[in-house]
Formats: sequence, structure tokens, C-alpha cells
Amino acid sequence: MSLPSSIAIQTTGLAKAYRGRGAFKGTHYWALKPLDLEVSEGGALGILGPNGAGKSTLLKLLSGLTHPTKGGYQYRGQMTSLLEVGTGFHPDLSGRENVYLSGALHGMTRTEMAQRMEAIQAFAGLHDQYMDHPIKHYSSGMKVRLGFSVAAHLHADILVVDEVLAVGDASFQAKCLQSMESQMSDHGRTVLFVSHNLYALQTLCPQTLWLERGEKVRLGPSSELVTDYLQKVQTTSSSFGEIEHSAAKGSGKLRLTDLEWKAGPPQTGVANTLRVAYEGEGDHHDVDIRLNVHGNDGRFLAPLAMHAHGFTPATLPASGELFVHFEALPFMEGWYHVDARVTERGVVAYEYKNLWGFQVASGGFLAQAPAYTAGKNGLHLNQTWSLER
Amino acid sequence: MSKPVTTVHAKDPIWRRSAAEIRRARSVAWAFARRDLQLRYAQTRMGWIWSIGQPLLAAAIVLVVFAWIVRIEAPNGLSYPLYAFAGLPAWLMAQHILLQGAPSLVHNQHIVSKIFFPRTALPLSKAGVALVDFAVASLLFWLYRGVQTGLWIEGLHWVLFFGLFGGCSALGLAYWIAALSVRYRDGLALLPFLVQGLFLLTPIAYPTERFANALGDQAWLLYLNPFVALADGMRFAWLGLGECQDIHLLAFGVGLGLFITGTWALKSVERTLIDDL
Repeated sequence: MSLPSSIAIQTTGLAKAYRGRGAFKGTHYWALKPLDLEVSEGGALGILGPNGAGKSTLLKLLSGLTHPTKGGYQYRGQMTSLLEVGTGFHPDLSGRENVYLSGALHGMTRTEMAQRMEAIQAFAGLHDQYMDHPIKHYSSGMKVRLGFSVAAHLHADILVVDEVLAVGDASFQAKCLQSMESQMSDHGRTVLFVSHNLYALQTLCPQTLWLERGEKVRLGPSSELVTDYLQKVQTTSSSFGEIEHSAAKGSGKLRLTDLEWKAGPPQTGVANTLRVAYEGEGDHHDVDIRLNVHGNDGRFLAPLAMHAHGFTPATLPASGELFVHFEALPFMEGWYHVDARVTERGVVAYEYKNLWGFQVASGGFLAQAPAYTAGKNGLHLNQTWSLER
Repeated sequence: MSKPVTTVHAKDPIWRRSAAEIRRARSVAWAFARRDLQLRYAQTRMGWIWSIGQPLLAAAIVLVVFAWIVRIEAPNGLSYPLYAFAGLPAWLMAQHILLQGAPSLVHNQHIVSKIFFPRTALPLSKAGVALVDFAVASLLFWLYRGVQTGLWIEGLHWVLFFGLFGGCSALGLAYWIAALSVRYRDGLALLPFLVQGLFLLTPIAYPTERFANALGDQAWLLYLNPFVALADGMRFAWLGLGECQDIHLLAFGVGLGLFITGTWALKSVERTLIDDL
């Protein structure tokens, strides 16, 4: 096998099987089925798919964390994988020492890290005094900034990135995205990028690979694929029949079983009620359900959140229903998709990206007002216009 | 400038170890060892004094138990503390490697599952820390010996040799337990008893001759413990006692075998380690 000169990564029949556990002992299942893939040098490939599609398995294989069951891959130059921000950070070490440690884990020498220290510190926006403090005294935001900053300054020809942009505040996320873009354009780095943030994925990657149940569904231009992907999520999961609960993350003590608009197809400006059905074992204490609503291009739009909206029951029965009332539905015409995250006493019980989608029909936000039309969909906010101050 | 091409295939042989990988293992081990040393005595009142305090405490326990309670005497009219303490720094090193190195993969699984580096680096880093302890404790013993019988340096290369042998044996055992712990944590549950048993079965605080008293012709069984060679070796190095017998080769062989097979064991679970951990 030889690697053509313009190709950065090439997989040939790359596949991974895991042994079954518990009830599935003795069997095995293919987390990634034989995959042929080529990424050209300086290119960026996005990878999308529902939970359990094999995205993480692919990244684990490429980063050497686990060995293929079948097939293989080749790559040119140095590859660095970033499956998490700040891996190896120790709370008792100073920011500076953590930078050295993190660098060493990624194969960088102390001297190399020392040369980059100033840039790392500047990018993270940390003062000198903080760099010599143990990072247990940092805010979580500061830790994340330092972690990403280290990652952005590693020496690598190929960068494999998993979800790391999902951390930090919005302005830092934008900065990270920008840094990733410049890594590609200025340094000619090749990037493999997994994200549930479909907006970031479209911005960063011209091409996207769509995986589902360990198989390639399609490979093509990102904007096209993201649109089709969201459509598919919405049509297949209007009822929960298609959802694989095994692919959900979290303890599983409480699981969402259905989401449904009670008053028929939702329409902008019209009253409606969202039914949230769940099941589980035993009484649930201090439960918080968050449904994050995203627009048709993957931008995050609005949370539907129990606690944030003042509903904080001490206990909930093992299984049951909750209702979210809207006097006038704020969503503009178009498709929306929903990520769900349920916590009990702060512990994640259920987490599922792209759990459900819904379509909102056109209508005026206020009675008798004309419908607002725009290329993208979004939210109406309560507001009053007038000539008076 | 052409960049090197890396090829990975399902059918790659397990034992494919490049020079680059060994370098990487060393530098990662050094980074972890450095972290451990920096954090060693964080939040203790006495700080670095503990690196002297710990071997002194171990010596005090040996003295109280074996010299005063069990009343063991050193052969040839030697002073008992001199006799017993000769093997103590090396044993403490082996103990540290076992207790820290064997569970190091499990303890660091949050790092291990997110970033690839040669897995031997983690137990190796603990051996690095143990080696520093060994140096400090040996220095203490050297001073003590100096006060008792006059300063001396001619046997020091033997101290280094047996120290490295003991370190490698302990590391090999730690590699084995670490490799097994990926799927079976039983080894970790047994670890404290293993270490305690090894201490009692290793003639640190009592003369090796007692083996023959107890087991007669079957005494060779006890030489399956590589640390017997370590204890005898250290007394030879520091005090010029005894000589190498054929039976010692058995202990040497077991130690060396442990190191080689342990490295192989860890290496062979490395590629699917995070699937099971």
C-alpha cells in the first residue's frame, strides 16, 4: 500500500468490532463497518451521525487508542487527536506545569512547549500570575480556555477533533472556530472534525461524512448533507419508535419516551402544549429536563428548561408526563431539532443529541399580524413598537 | 520535504516496537514522574522532610518488630540494624513500584482513554519516582554505615546493579498486574497481600540461612522470589557478606523473566486496552 502524495489520510476497509457485554456476552457487534475514506491534504472532513453511529469509534481508531479489527489506514505526517480539552490536567499543578504535562502527553518536548508558552497564555487570555497558580483555583471557563489553547498550539499535520468546540462560552467558541480555520488555511493542516454543532461543522468543513449504525450513509458537501440529515432526523423520529435508547448517554435512570405537540401541528403565534413523556425506575429527585432547540442549519436557538423556567418539583413519579405551555408559539416557520439532557441531582440520567424534530407552520406571531419571512428560521421575542417613549 | 507515512493495519504483529515509540514512552514516563514528584508532598506540613522520614519510619518498624520483639540476630556478630537496613532501601523501592505502578492504568483511565501513548510509560513513571526514593534512602544508609564502620565507596556499583535488577523485577510484576487489571481487577484487590507476603518472604529483616532451616532441600522454592537475590545482593554490595550461589541464578532468572514477559503482556493488551478498561 502506498499513499498518493495529495492524500493525508486514507482508510481501507477500516472496521472495528466490540465484544458484547452483559446479556450480549459471547457475541460481538460492529461499531464501525468496513470504511473506505480519503481526506486530501489541507482538507477538512466533518463527520456527523446520531449517537452510536460509529463517529467516536472512527476517531479512536485513527488516534491509535484502539486497534482495528479489520482493514487499516495510512496517514502522512504527524497526527494529533483531541478527544477532550485539557486531558491530563492535574488540579494541583500550576497552569504552566499543566501546559508542559499536556504537551508531553501529545509528544511535545518541554523546550517546544516553552517556546509556545507565551502564545498559549495569550490565546487563553490568562494573566501571568494565574499561570503559576494551581488550576484547581481556576474557573471552569479558564481551564477550558487553557486546554484548548494548548491543543491549538500543538505541532501536527493532521488534527482529529471530537466535540471540543462544545465547551466554553460563546465568544471563546467563536475564537476556537477561527483558530481551527486558520490552522487549515495558514498551516495547511488537515482536520477531521466530529461535532453535534452542525453550524460549526458547516462553517469549518466543506465535506462531510454521514455515518449511521457504523456505516457510511453518504459523503458530500456539508451544507447539503446537514440539511438532509436534519430532515431525516425529523421524519424518522417524529415518533420515538426509531430511537435507540441504548445509544443514549447517562445513567438511564430516567428516559424520555415521547415528545409531542398536543394541540396539533405547531404554528407560529398559536397556543400549543408540548407533552414530555418519560419512564424510569423509582421516584426521581431534583430532576431537570433540558430540551435545546436548534434551527434548520444547526444553530442553537433556545432552551426549553424546567429549572430555568421556575419549575423545580422535589420529586417526580417513576414514569409520567410533563407539559410545556406556550401562549403563542415563538418559533418561526421551518424545521427545528432538539437535543435532550436530563439530570437528576446534577447527575446526567439521559442525554441524546438530535432526539426529535418538529416542523412549525407559517403564521403571524401576533393575532392578525402578517407572518415574518426570512431565509433562516428563528424565534419571535415579545416586544412592543410605538412612537411614544 | 516529504513527511513520513504511518501505516496501521488490523494484522500488524503485536510486537512492533519502533525506536520512536520507546522514546515516546520514556518522555511520557518522565512527564508523569515529574508530575508525581512535584505533587508528592503537596499539602503536607513537613513537605520534603517526608522523603527522609518515610525510610526512617520503615527502619524503625523493622527494628522494633524484628530486633526487639522477634529477637533476630545478625550472623557473624554484625550489628543488626546495619544487617537489616542494607536491603531496606531497595525493598521500599520495589514496594513503591508495585503499589503505585500496578494500579496506574486504572487510576489514570480518564487520561488513558482519551490520548494514546505507550502504556508502559505509566508504571515506568512510578519506577522513576521510586528510584529517587531509593537514592535518598541509600544515601541515608550510606551515612549510617559510614558512622558505624567508616566511609567507603568501592561497592557502590553493585548497589546500583542490584538496585536496577530489583527495580526491573518489581516493574515486570507491576506490568503483569496492570495488564491483567484491564479486564480483571482481582490483581489489584490482591496487591496489598502480595506486597505484604513478599516482604515477609524476602530475607530483609532476617538472614537468608533461615530458609534452609525451615525447608531443607525444598529451600529453592523460596528463590523463586526474585527479591531474595535483591536482599542478598544488597548485603553483598553494602557489607561484603556472602557470595553468589547457583541458586541465586534462579531468582535472577525469575526477575528478568518477569520484566520481559510483563513488558510483553502490557504491550499485547495495549491496542484494545480502552475497549475493556
